[in-house]
Amino acid sequence: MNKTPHHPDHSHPVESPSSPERRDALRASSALLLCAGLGIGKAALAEGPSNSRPKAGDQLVRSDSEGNPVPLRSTEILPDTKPLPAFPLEPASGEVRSGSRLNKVILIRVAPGDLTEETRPYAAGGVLAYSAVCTHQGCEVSEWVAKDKTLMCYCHFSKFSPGRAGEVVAGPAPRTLPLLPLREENGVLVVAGPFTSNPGVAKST
Amino acid sequence: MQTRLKALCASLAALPLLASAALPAYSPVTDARLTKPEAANWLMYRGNYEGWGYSPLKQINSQNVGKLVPAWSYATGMTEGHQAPPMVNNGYMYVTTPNNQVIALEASTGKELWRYKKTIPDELMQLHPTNRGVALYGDKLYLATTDAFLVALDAATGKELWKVAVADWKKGYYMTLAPLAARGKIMVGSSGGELGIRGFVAAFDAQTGKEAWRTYTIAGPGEAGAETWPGETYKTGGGSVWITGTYDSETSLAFWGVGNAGPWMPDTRPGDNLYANSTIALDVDTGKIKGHHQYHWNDAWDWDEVSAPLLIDVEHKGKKVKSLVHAGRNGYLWLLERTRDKVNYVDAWPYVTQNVFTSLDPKTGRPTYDPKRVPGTGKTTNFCPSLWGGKDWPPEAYNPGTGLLYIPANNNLCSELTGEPVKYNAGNLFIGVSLDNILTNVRMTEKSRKHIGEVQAWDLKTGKKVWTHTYPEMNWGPLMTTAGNLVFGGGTNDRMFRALDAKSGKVLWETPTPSGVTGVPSSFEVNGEQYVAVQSGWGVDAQRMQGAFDAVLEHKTVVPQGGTIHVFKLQK
Ligand code: FES
Repeated sequence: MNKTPHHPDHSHPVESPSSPERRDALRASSALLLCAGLGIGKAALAEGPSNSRPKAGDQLVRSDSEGNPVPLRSTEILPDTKPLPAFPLEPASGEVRSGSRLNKVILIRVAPGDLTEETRPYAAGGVLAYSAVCTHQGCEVSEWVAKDKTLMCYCHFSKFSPGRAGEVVAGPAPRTLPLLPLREENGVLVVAGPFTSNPGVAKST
Repeated sequence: MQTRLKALCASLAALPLLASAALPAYSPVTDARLTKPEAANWLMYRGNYEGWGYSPLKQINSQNVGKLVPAWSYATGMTEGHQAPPMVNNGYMYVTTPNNQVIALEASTGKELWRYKKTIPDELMQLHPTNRGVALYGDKLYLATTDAFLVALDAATGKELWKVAVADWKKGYYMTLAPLAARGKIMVGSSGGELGIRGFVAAFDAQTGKEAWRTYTIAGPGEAGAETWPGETYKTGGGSVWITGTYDSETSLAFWGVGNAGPWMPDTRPGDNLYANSTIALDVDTGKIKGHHQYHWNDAWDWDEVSAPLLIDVEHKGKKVKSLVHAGRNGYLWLLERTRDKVNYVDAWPYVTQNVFTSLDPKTGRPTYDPKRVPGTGKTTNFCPSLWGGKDWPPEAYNPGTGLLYIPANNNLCSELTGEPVKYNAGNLFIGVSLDNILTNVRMTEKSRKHIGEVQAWDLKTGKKVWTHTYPEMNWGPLMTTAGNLVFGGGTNDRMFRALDAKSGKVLWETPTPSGVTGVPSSFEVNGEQYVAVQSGWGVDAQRMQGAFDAVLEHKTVVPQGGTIHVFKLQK
């Protein structure tokens, strides 16, 4: 038998890129270029409450809810378990914004001691809402890894820290998981503002 | 400024013309050329219809391969799994990358001729962000995309001629394979077995893109084999097709490998589950299934048998057999016979540690299982080989000169799975094993701590293994063999690309690349000079296995990502 010697690898893990804003700007400009090239204006893109992004004042409902959706309360989000997938609900129309999977969020309870200063304002009743769509290749961030208190995406094992504003702590994801700011009204979770950055994949071009 | 800008634009516009000026006019690819490909070219996924991964060139050979040096390289700007072979047609090279891009280059210099980028929907999830190459046919080339489109481009200019939606990506259908071109048709299959799809092979008119036929790999009502699926289970029965079929031009039959049945736990779909985990012989004109062989029934181990069998005429026990050869993910090396209207079992034997099959029916090859090794819902089961199998998708290679079959294998590796109930939800994972379990499925044995990856060489005449080259960890390296008595391949997490002596397995040359090599190597000749080409770009399943290793081993291995095309030639 011939053997190839084992070369242990001492290199360091790849660092996550520093500036999500720059990526977003790049993404926006490349999208503009594309639109120009294809003649697709904004008007051609799908509108309507079910497709449009979450807005302040929206409530949240379980993504698998059937029949009359019931707004989620912060106490329903339990500690140390899989995050709960949910969609925003526009209370006025009663419409669930499930037309686009980019609207999907995952709800997770984080112990106060595990929240960074930066992250705390986005939480309500100890609960945080993150985009469910992995910033790597768009799979769903669905797993809770109790050992290192991270949210994990199955497709290529990216891990995000919910207590540290969705920071990438492992895997190929290039940028943080966007946060959806929350507040509470009589125990009911309410969206307090738009996503902190565009949900979904920042495409390389 | 104005004038300078104008001048720049003018020079940009002139670029493609300048680049192609050095190249002859594009030579159309005909059925005749694909049936007997010229030694100088690499016109399809495996170099020939038979799936050999063999180049008849021998300027680079076991005597001089030590003098192999870079001719040129090219950064693709993409991350993730770069698996496509650089395909070459009389000086034109075509390479595909993750995110559904095609790069056309001048094969001898690496000068970019054009680049095509398919726009992908924002909402698309790419479980396998990769692509395994194009099909060259006529004056066009064809790309299958992860949003399940088939796209036709002008091979000379890269202009998009048409695109057709092959299936609905929102329901989990996606494509990563190089299409198969024959008899005026472009054939593709779909991935998505982990997302509850019903697999198929479909053919499209090469000129117009009009669908000619579609044959489901999962038998439904009214089709032969329907009785092997209880109730409505066939609708989400999996049976992905994500590797290019091989083709017998004498019988017009294409041989495709079919993925595992879904969801993973066998008790959710009691029955044989045809044609999951099989090879099927499809009539290229009609799409009719003319024969099949199911390697194993009612799969429970995620053993996709998706790589297409190699067409090799072998002498077996003194008898000439027009055979199909397949190193199964289930750990057995299969020898089948192909006829005009049937696939017959000939022989099979394990080529890696396998503890699931207790026997094979000597007539049909149907395995009997050790019940202790069959996973099920609510049960934890340990089995070998692991869920990635003895060999996953990286293709074997066959060298008619040495008469040997080369297998990129992973040996000594086992898995442990616990089945759990699962509900179908369109576009979502439909597996029936927790993701955490999949992440930590690997079970190392005493032996696997010594070595896992192998390149094996088998003499098909005698059924004997001639040599084995071993690696400490995984081997995800597609193989190519040449008339120069060489076997090329990468696949290891030390980023190496190597040349082995085809007769002895000795490493004759190796070079570290920027990332890990899971690309299919190719070889070609321009102006009398032979080149060897391969993409470096670790990702997808190799990366996933690395993650699983990192979860159970004491040490972690970082393989950097980022794609490059590498072309080598002999130092003058
Ligand atoms: S899509 Fe999430 S890690 Fe790749």
